[in-house]
Amino acid sequence: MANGYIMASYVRPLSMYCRAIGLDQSLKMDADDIVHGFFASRLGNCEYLTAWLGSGLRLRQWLRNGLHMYVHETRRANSAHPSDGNVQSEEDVERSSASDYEFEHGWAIAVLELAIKSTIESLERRKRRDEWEMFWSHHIDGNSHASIGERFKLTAAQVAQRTFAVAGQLRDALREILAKDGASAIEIELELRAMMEVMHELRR
Amino acid sequence: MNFGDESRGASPVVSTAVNPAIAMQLLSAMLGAQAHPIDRLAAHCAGSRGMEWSGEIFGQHPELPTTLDGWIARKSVAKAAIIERDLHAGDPRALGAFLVYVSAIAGALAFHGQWITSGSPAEIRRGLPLLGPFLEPTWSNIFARAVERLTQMDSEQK
Repeated sequence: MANGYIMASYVRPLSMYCRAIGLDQSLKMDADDIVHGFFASRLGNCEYLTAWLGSGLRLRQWLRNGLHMYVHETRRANSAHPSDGNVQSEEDVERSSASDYEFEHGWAIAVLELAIKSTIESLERRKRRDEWEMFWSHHIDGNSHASIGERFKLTAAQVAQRTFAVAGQLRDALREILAKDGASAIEIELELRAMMEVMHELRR
Repeated sequence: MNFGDESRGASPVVSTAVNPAIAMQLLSAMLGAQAHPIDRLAAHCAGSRGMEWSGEIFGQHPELPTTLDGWIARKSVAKAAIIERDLHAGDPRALGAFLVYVSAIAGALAFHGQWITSGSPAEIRRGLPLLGPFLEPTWSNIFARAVERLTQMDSEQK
């Protein structure tokens, strides 16, 4: 898996997580800088991702745990008293469990954006960009198939067929991303539902 | 991303920015027929024009029923208008009927403390607190009261 892909997918959720549990304040560093420092320290070593493959964890969970370890190491390196780092780290663990939703939320948003980008690029390559507009107009803007059809000079059934197809392509794009995170094919739907629950929780 | 008035062939600016409301709508679209109707309705209400849309639906029934039978009648009419296939396809008309159906259940709970549906209690229980915050204040308050009443009924049963 390319390091560029990992950084594009995981910088945002890890940065949000850093801020949510105050790692940026405790290290007195920008959250993005902490995450980039973490990636620089780990991703250069191919053993790091090999170890993940044997861990049984989702990649995002592996990286989050790794981030904690990195912060712990950084604290110890910066501290005149190595034990200081240990105390802070335990506090982090307590706060981190309360911020699981923040992390999962950031991750879900990031991967959805990647899936959208991939789907749009695929449609544009096939000169079918209009179909993305139909999909968005129906599912996000709430327009009926019939009203979209008037704009695109198609029947409601044709619009329904196209928006359905785009939803499938978006789902496939997301499935690829989730597979890279470690989800098996049969777990994809569970992952989608879990993402939905995370969105619900944050709006309450 | 809003393509509202753009003519066909125009090239609107591509944005891949996602907020929680859009995420819910996208996930509903991807889950397709397997999306729970409550999730699909919540995603629709959470959209940029969701409150306007639900306001129009409620505007078709401006008078609130004053009796329990009135809420039951409203629920029954709405239920008859729900076409399952369209509901699972996210058709706004089917979603509108489903919103009236759920809001009648909320109204009966809020004003009369009565559970008036044989539908999935777990799904409605999950849906009331989920939908309420996306609705205009009058209905948001009714949904909040319904949730309170449900909580009260739960504690009375213990």
